[in-house]
Amino acid sequence: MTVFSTWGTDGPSGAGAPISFSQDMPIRALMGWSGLIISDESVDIVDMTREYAARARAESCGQCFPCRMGTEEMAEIMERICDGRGVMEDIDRLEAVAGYVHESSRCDIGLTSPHPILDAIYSFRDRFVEAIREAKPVPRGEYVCQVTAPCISACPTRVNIPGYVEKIRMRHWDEAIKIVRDTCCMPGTIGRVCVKDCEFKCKRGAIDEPIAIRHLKRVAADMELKAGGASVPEKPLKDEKAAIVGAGPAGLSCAYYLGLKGYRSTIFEALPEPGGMAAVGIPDYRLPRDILRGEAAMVEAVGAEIRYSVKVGEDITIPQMLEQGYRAVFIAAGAPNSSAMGCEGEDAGYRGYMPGVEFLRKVAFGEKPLSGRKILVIGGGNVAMDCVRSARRLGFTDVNLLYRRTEKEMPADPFEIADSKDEGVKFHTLVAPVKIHASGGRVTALECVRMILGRPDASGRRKPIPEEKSNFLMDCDAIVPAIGQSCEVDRFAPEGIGVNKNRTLAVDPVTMRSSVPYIFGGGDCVTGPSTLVAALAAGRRAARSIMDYLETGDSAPRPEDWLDKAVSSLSRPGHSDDAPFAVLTHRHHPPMTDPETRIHSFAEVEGCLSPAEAGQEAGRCLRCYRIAIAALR
Amino acid sequence: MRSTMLLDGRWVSFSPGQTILQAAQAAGVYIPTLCYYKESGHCDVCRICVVEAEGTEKLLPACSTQVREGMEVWTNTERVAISRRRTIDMLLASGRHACLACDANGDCGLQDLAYNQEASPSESLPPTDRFPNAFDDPFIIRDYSKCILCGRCIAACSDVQVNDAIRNPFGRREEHEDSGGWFPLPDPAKCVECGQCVEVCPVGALREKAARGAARIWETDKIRTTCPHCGVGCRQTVHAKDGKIAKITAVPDALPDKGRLCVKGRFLYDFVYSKDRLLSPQVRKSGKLRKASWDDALNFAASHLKKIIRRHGPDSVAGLCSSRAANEDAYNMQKLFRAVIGTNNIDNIGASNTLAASFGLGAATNSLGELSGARAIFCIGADMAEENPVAATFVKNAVRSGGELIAAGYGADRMSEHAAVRAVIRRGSEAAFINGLAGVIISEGLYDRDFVRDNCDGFDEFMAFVSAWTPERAAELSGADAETIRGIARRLAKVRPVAICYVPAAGSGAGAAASLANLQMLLGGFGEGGGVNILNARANAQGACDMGAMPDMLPGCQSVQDIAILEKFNRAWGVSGLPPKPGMAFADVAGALVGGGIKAFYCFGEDPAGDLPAFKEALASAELVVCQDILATETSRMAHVVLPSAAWCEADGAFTNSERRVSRVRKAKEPAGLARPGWWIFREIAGRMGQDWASESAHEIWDNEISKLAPLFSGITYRRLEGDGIQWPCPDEGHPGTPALHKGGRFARGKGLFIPCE
Repeated sequence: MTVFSTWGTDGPSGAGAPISFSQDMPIRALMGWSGLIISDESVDIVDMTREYAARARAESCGQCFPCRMGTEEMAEIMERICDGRGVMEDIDRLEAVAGYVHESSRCDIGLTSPHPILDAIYSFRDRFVEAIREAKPVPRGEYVCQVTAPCISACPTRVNIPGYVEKIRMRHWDEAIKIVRDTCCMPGTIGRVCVKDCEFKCKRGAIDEPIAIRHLKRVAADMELKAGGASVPEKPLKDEKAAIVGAGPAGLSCAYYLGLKGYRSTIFEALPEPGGMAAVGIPDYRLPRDILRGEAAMVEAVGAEIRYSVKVGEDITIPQMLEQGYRAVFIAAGAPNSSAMGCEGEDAGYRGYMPGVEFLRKVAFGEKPLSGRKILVIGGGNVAMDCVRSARRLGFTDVNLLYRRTEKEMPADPFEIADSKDEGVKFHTLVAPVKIHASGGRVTALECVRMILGRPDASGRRKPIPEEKSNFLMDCDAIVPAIGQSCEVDRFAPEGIGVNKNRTLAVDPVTMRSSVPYIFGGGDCVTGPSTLVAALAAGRRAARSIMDYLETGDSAPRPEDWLDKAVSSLSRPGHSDDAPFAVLTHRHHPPMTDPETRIHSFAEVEGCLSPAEAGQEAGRCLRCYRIAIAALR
Repeated sequence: MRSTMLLDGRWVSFSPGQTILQAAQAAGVYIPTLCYYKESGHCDVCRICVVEAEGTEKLLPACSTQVREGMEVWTNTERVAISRRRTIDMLLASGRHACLACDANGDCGLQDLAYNQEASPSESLPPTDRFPNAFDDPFIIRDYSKCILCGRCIAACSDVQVNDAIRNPFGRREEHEDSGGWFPLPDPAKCVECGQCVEVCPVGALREKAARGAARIWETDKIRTTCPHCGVGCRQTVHAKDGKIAKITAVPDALPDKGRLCVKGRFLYDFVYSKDRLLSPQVRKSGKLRKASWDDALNFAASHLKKIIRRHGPDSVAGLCSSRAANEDAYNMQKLFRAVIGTNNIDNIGASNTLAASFGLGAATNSLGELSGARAIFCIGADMAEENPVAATFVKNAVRSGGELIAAGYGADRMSEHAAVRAVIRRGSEAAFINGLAGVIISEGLYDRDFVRDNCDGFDEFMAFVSAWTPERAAELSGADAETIRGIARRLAKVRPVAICYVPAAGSGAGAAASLANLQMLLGGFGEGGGVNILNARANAQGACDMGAMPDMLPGCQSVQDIAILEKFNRAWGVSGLPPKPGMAFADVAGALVGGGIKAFYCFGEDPAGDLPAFKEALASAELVVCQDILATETSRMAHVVLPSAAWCEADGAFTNSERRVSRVRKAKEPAGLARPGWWIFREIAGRMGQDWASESAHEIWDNEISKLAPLFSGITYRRLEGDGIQWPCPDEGHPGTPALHKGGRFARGKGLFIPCE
C-alpha cells in the first residue's frame, strides 16, 4: 500500500500517482528520478535523502558544472545534517542548490536527481528541521540502488548503454566493449542481430531518430577484433562445477558468467557447432559464423568446456551428470522443433516440404536442402524472413512469403521485411494454407484461403478469419512453414519436474530455478521461441543463482532484484520539457551490400559504421541516466 | 534566408542553424562563456552561458541551443544571474584561485566572471587539497589546483591537434575517487608539446613555462607576425615586454592555421637569443675573422666582388639565397646579382617551384586549410606531423570526420596510425612508386579519360613510358609490395577527388612533384579537395622562388629568357643588359668552385658547408666567401666577410607559405647587436658597387618594386596584408587572391603536361 507518492508529478508538492508495489515486494520506500514513493511511514526520509544525494554525487560524471559541483554540495549538506552538524540554513541552501542543478544540468543525472530531494524537503521539511535541531547523528539505513535509463530498462541484459555509447564518443573502444561485456557476453553477435528494444525506448527517438545502439555495439566489437581480440583475466578456478544443456546464447552466457567467477562448467551440445539457434537459425548473411565461434571461444577461455554432438537424454542423462560431479544443471536446450501448421498434407512426408527450422539448419551446414524455381514460405516472423532470404541465395528465383494477417501485424523486424523485399521476395498477405497438393510424392502446389481480419485476439492483434469460398491454388516446387517453434523439455528433464502447458520448463522468473533445487533453466526452452538477447539475460541470471546455490545450497532473489522489478514497473510519463529545444540530428546508417550482389552469396550484408561515424552517432546520446534507491523491509 | 527572434525584448534576425550564442554575438548582445571552444565544437558543459527562453522551465545553454523562428530569449534575467553566480561561487570554492601571484592575472575567464558577477567562494563545498602533480615538462606548467575541468584542453588535444595525449577523464565520480577526480592529465608518451592546451586554457592551470614571471598581460606589446619555422606559415602573436619576447601565442581563427601552432612556432624562439648569434660584422684579416665596422665589412665585400668581376667576369660569382628570409631580402639579393653583378647565378634550395613545368606555375595548387574537409588525402614523403605539424592537424581532422588517409612514408611515423592504407617506400624512390600507381591506373582503365583528353598534353608518351612501370618493377625500386601498389592505385581512383600532399625531405627524389602532377592529371582532381600540395620545410621556400632567387626566373615566375620581360626589368632597375641566359644552379656550384669557374660565393641564410661535406671541401678553393646570416655556421667560419642579419622578429617583411599566401612578418624587437635587415645589407653593397636603390624599407620594396614588376602580385600591397594575407595570383587590388589553382583543369600553362620522370 502506498501511503505517500509524488511520483510523476511536475511540481514536487502535488499529489503523485498512487503507485503501489505488489504484496510480495518488500519495498518500504523508493526515491527515484520522478519522485518519492512511501509504503511504510516509519522510513527515515532524512537519512534516505542523504543516501540519495550521495548516490547522485557518486554517479555524476563530472562534465557539466552544475551537476559536478551541485551534487557534491547536496551530498555534503545532507552528510552534515545526518552527522548532527547541520544548521537551519542548510535546508534552504539544499533547496537552492537542488533547484540550480535541476534547471541547468546537461543530462538526466543532474536534471532528475534533484527531483525526489526537493520532494522530500517540500513534503517533510519538519523532519529535516527536527534532525538539525536534535544535532545528533541520524542512524544509517540500508538501501539498494539502481542506475538505469529507458534504454537500459528495455534491455533484458541491462547493458549500460549510455555508458558504452559515451566511451565510443570518447573513442575509448576498450572501455566501451568492456562495459557491454559486463552484462552481455556476445557483443559481436548481439551487435548484429539484436531486436533492439532499447532503440524503441530511446528518448532521442522522440526528438528525431533513436541512437543506433545496436550498430554502435557492433562497432565496439569489431574494433576489438581489429585490435587483436579480447583478453581474459586470470583468476583462480573453484572446485564446484555445473553442467549446461545447450551451447546456445543462454548456455554460453551462463557458462561465461560462471567462468568469470572461477566456476567451471561443461556445456553439452547436440550440434557439432556452438551458438544453437543463433548458428543454425540465423543465416550467415546476418550473423557470420566466425563471429559466433569467436564469442564461444571466449566462453571457453574463461573456463567452460563445450562437448559437441552430445544428445542429453540419449548420450548422457541428468542423473549421470550428477554422478560425474556436476552439482547444478542449467537447461538451455532451446526450442528447436517446428510447430505444426494444421494444414492437410503436412505430415505426409512429401519431398519439397520442409519446416523452416530444419531448412535453415541444413542451409547452415552447407546443404542445399530444397531446389527448384518457386518456393512458398509461410509465416511473418524473423524465421520466415530468414527462410525467404536464404531461399533467394540458394537459387530460387520466385520466392513467396505467405502470411495470414497484414504486414502491419508481422512480428518480424521491419528492416528484415524491407531487406527481403529489396531482395525480390513477393509478399502475399491475408492468406493461409489449407492443403498441400502433391504428385508422385513431391509437392506441386499449395491450396490457400484468403483471410479477413476480425476482432483483436489475446495477443492484441486482430484475429484472421477465413473468407468463405476463397480457396485458390499456388503452384510451387517447395513449401517451408515457419510459423513457430516448440520444445520438449520433459523428454530429458527428470520426471516430476515442473513443466508448463506448452512443454516448456517452469522456473522462477527471478532466480531461474526449477522445481528441482539443483536444476535451473533459461532461454527458449523456458519462454518458448524468444529473442537472443532474452536468452543471454536468462543465462546470466541463472549463473548468479547457480553460484548462490553452489555456495549456500539455496538461491533466492536479492534486494536489487526487487528494486529492478519495481523500477521496471515505473515508467515516467514523457514530458515535453525533457529535452527542450534540442538540436535535430540524424541517425547514421551503416553501408549495406546492394541487393543484386548480396543474393548471390551468404556473405554478410550489413556493414559497420566507421569509427568517425560511430563517434558522431554516439554524440547524439542524451545520457538519460536515472537513479533509484529503495529502502527494503 | 533570415529569420527573427526576440532577444532581450528586441527583435533581431538570425540565420537558421545558428545557436543562441552566435545570434546574440551577431546582434551585439554579450553572453559570457567559459568552456565554449569554437574551433573544436566543444561546448555545453560549463553552463555559464545559460539563458531563459519562453516555453521551457529549464535554463538553456546558449552555446549549444539552436535558435528557432520566433523564439523568445532572455540573456540577463535575475534567474540567469543567480545561476551564473552560483556556478562561479562553486568554482571559486573548488580550487586554489590565488590571482595575485597567478600568471593568468588579467587574462583569466574565471577572474573576469568573478569580477563581473561579484562572486565569492561558496561555503558549503568541502575544501579539497588533492591535486595531482603533473609530469616535468620542458615548456608547460600544469597547476591543477587552478583547473576548472572545462575540457577545453582535451578538445584542443583530441579534436583540434588530434594528438589524443589527454585522455578524456570524465565518467562516474565513484570510479574517480581514488585518482582524485577528473583532472585532464597528459600522457607524456603522446604529448608533442604543441601547447594548444595552454592556448585554450581559460584560467591559470596551463601556462607557458618560459613566460613564468616574465610579464603580465597588460605589460606586453602584442605583435602579430608569421612563424619562421616551416612552410605552413602560421600566425603568431609575439608578446614582448621591454623589447624581449615573453611568449608566443596563436591568433584565434586566423588563416592558414585556424588558430593553431606547433611546438616550434609556440615555444622555439630562443634561437634569436642564441650565443651563436652574429652580433657584429667580421672581416678576415691575416687568416682570422675579426670584428669590423659595417662600413669596413661592406666595403670589403663590395671591393672584392668588383675585383673578381673585373678579373673573371660576372658569371664567376654565385649566390645562394635563404629560404627562410623575407621576400624583400630575397628580392634585393637577386637584384644585386642581376642588376649589379650581372649574373643569373642565384639560387635557393627550398625547391618549391617543382610543378612549374607541369602546370605552368611553380607552386602548390591548393590551400592547406582545405585539407581538414577533404574526403580523401594521399600523402607521400616525410612525416608531416614532424615537418609541418599544423598542416598535419588538418589531415588528421579530415580523418576524424570520416575522410580517408592513404599514406606512403619512409617508415612508421606519427601519421601512420591515421592512415587507412599505408605503404612504406625508400627515400628517393617516390617517382618509381608513383609511376607504379600511374601504371595500374592506366592499365586498368581507371583514369579520367575526359579530363586527360581535354586538359592535358603528352599523355601518349606518358602512357608508353609507364607501361614499363609494372607494379612489380615499382615495388622492387620503392620497397613497397606490388599488391599494395595495386591496392592504393585502385583506392585512389575510387575515392577521388583526392587531395595529394607531398612532404619533401633530405634525400627525397627530384621527380616526385612532377610525378604527382602526372598522377593527379590522371585522376582529374583539380579544384577544392584535390590538387597537388607541396609542403615546404622552410618558411619562405616559396617566396625565395617567387622573388627570383632562381637561375632562370625573375621575380613573379617570369623567365629570364623572355626579352620583353628582361626589358621591363632593365627599365625598372635603371640598367641595361640584364643577363638573358639562365644562371648556374646551386647544385653545380661545388663543381664549378673546384673547376675554377666560380671564384666568389655569396651565401645568405644557409649553411651549405655544414650540410654538405663535399661543398665544404669545394668552398675552400673560393677566392671570396661572403656570408650573411643570423647565426654562426660552418659556412660563416669559412667566410672572408661575415654580415650579421636581423632575425624574423627583428625586421619587417613578408613570407610566402606553401599555399602561396603572402603574409606579413613584423618587427617585435630590436635586432641583436649590430645586425641589420637582410634587404638593407644588399642595398648597401649595391650602393658601394655604384647603384643607389630608391626603396628604403621592406614596405617600399614590396609596394614600389615587387608588386609593380610581377603581375602575379599586382594586387598585393602592404596595406592589404594586415590580416590573413593574400594567396597569389592576385592581379589587382580588388582581387581576393586565389585559394586553388588550375580549377577544373584550366592550367596556367594552357594544358597540363605529363612529364615522365624516374
